Amino acid sequence: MATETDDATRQPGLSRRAFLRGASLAAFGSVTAACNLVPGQENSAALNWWPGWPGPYMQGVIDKFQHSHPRVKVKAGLFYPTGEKLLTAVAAGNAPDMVADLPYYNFIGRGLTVALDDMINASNDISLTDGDIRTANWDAFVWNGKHYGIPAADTAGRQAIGYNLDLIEKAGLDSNSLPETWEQIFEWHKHLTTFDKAGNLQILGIDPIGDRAGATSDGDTWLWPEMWGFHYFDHEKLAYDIDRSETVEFFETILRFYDQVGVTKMTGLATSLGGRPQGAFGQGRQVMSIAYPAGPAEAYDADPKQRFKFSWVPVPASRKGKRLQTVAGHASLIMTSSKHQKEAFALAVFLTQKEACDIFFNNVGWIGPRKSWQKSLNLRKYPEHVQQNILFYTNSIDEANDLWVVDKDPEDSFLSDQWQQAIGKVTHHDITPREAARFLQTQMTEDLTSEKREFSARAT
Amino acid sequence: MAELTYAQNLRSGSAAPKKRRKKAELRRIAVGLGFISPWIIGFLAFTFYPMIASFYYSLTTYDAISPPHFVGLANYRHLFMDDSLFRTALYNTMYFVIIGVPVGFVVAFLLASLLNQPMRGRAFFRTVFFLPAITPLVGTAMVWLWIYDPQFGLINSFLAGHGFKAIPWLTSTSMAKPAIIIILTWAQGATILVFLAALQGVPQHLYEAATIDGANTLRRFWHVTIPMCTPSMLFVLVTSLIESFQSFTLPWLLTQGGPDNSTELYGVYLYRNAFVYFKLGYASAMAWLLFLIICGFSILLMKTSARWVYYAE
Repeated sequence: MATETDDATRQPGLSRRAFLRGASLAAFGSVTAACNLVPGQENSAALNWWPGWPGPYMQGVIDKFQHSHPRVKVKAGLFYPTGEKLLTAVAAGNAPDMVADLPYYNFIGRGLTVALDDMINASNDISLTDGDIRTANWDAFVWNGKHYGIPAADTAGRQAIGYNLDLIEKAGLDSNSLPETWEQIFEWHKHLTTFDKAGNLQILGIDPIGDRAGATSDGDTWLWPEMWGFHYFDHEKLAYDIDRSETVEFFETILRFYDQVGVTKMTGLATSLGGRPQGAFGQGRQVMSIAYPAGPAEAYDADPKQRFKFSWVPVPASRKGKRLQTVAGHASLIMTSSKHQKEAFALAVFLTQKEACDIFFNNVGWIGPRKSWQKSLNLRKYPEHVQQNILFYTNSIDEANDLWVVDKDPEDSFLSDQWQQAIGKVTHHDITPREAARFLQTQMTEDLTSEKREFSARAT
Repeated sequence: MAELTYAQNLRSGSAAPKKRRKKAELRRIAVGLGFISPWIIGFLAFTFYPMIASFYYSLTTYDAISPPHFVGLANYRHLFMDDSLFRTALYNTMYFVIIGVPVGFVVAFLLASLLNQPMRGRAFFRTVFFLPAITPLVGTAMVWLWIYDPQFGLINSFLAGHGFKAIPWLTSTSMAKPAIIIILTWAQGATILVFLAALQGVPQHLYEAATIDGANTLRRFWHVTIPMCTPSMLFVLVTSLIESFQSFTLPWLLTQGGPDNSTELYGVYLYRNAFVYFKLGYASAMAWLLFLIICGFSILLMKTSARWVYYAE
């Protein structure tokens, strides 16, 4: 205990008490600064954006936006795996303001994102009705009659099959007479697939569930039901309709390809080279691939020497003549917990505009949602065949005679996983295609009932 | 007089000194608790509360977004009665425990014995064998992905270059589990270190006595080295068992549970339920079941240890 004598004899300087007081003040100052409460900055908005798209070009997009919106400070978190991280952030109460590239309806359906109709209607920069962004693109993010997403990147037609023209011509096939049905694709696949003397896979015709054809969520439709011409999910009744003869047929189709090559060899090639255009397809080891919309530009960037042609995806013989295209792609969603919804909306609109779309296209080949921008695309840096391929993606929405908007399934990440489970079981002959159809139906239905899922509203 | 009073107090057990002692004791406890309070608070907030909460969630359906619905034991019932993938995950995990733990254990002990021998470059070899233990698992996974790659991997390009068929290490249902066990066996650096310490603690005079009694190298190893190392062996077995039951990182990075669920381990399936399927209630039930399984095996191991673990006086 300090006495008067102690106090009287204490040397001038920093006492323990003074040190603690100073340290406390410094700590308080740091905390308040970190909380952005520094006087004079009250009007600025720190926007936390999780676009999910990695790449140095993202900073270019942010810089351009901040230049026109100096009051907004954007911090982009790149957050693969998207669904898992957003779920934990929401549960922890620190969700970002705006998100993209995730199982959209998992979050829209649970009421975690904002209906944007009022903001869109009040905006001079974007419109639901002027036709610049196609109605189908808007519809892909409508839930209960309201719009929950501003179409962003990769919003042209989502589906196309790519052909490696060099490999096709080398194999003596006619690139002017491309297959239209899965039966014809299988014949080409058999002709094009080659093995070495020891039985190792050299060139693969096609992995029918590689790349886009294997996807069911994160901005993509489940292509197989659409190729066979049915909706797997009823928005009105929140009910699945998967256990049907068409599902059995498409599992049989997939199995035929896997049996022809061998399951370990088929998956081995994908493991080695990946599924994207830079993968087996982009590297000239796979002849055909149902590819990303960014495919033509990405494949060209990966290897400019190779020639590709992108065309309509095959359908079963019973639907021959269908020019199928699907719409979904990526949109910007604003979280209900966001305190900066107005600023987030401004960024979402900016992503549809020329400045941002040019950066995306020039760096990764993604196609923006506005028709006016798509028409103004400068494709001169690409050779003629690449230009034609890019135009296929932009024009095919209008030229398709079988256009599908994504089935709004609030359990699409679960479906994605169960679809992979079913494919694994079928291709390893653990279950038959008939059992696979039943398996998916049971799993999805039980998930809705046993987990007592409550969705904010039903889709219309 | 004062001394007498004190002695009398001691004899009669008077309340005052007792009270003082009690007070001092309480103060000591308070100071002790004060010093360890950061840990206590951390334990309560980040271990104890989540455990209790997860037990409650295991009796509910819960997606982390909507409020939980109480469903009693339905999650546990579903695990045992309806979920075939749970049974697959349990089988795969048991495979890892029953095959992977003994293989890793034996290899680590033999390597430690070799590294305990006087030889040139011993420090270098010890470092080499310990390195995998300090290599981040993600880095390890990337390197082994390349070694196992079906097209361009170290092993398969050699095989294909000599006219042999490639080995589908991670793409075949029969090869994927052994392939991961090989990696785990390779990364036994920490276990080797524990065994090395145990081997160096074996008293030299026991070897001398055994040699005088005519024991050869093998007998010395069997009758001296192994019994003297059994306390360390018990420790390694218990910790390896727990680690194996909780395996997640390597199978998730290498195969994501595939091909055809052949590496879908308990931890992988638990993660999938919690964060991909939004089934946190179900995942909590799985976590509690795993806790009980690990407790059961650990208790079994500890109970049987009296028969085979030798603690030198």
